[in-house]
Amino acid sequence: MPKIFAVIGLGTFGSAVAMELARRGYEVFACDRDPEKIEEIGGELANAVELDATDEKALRDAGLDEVDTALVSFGEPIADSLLVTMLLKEIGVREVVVKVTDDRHSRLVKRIGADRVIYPERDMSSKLVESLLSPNIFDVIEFSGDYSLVEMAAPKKMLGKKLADLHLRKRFGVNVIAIKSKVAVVNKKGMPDIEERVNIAPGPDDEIAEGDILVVLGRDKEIRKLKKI
Amino acid sequence: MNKKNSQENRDQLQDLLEKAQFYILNQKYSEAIKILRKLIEVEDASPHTFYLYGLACEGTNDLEEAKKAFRRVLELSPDHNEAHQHLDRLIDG
Repeated sequence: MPKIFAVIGLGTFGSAVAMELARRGYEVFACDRDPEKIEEIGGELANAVELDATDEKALRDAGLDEVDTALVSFGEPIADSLLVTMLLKEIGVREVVVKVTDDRHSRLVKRIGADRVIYPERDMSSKLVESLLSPNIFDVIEFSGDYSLVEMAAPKKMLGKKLADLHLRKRFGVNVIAIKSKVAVVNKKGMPDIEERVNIAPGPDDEIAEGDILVVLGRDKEIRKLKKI
Repeated sequence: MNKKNSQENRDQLQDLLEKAQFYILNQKYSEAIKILRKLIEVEDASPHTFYLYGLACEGTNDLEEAKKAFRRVLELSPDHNEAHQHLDRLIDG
């Protein structure tokens, strides 16, 4: 059975998540107490429901006790976010993901049952700072502790060399888990174009080409060293 | 005589453009950039020249320069679909 989702709060973030889930073919209940927001998204989503999510009966009547995962995507007022999180757990939603606005909100919501907390502004700001400070870094996903998954332009010194010859694991303790390449093609109109192709789990004989982006997993300190070569 | 020279110049520029295109199709983006920069300096560059320059810059991950080039294409040729697509992709990430 495919998962059923609910998104409570249809601001910019919540609407984007609901639309993306629907685009990928999932059933989504999109809820907000503001009728204008329901009207805005109603054309795009079959299950757009106007409701006050702080009302347990309204949640049950709308069928939200049937969903697998709910996203509480409004940050404020915090009291409402806490109450809705608690009610969603009480009515039997298996996984409740909550968008928080600060550390206090995060602590409180975890205590009352949130399964996962997201902090889009903070996460986005740290990615933005990384990309502003290191133009060759395209994306960063932090893992636990000091480890990150980083997308970085292949340094010039690596071009034309095979992965095996670079000894990246030995020298830097990092693993290249994918290579994104810019492949030149001729499009339908007969014009040159560039497409991105991803080589997942590249082998030792794979060669680094100009324009390649390496997806590297490793300790932050070692990745910083790798960027400097 | 002047007519002949001007035709020769045009032929040379066309040859260079084809050479740049050849480099792009062989993923030698830096080589293509060298030629395209010269072309942009000397000729009244066409949208296609800027488009190729944008592609080559994108190929070397010089995304700022690529964006400038695709924007220039759209100034010269607002309906250039490929330039629109590349610019959208570069900006949206």
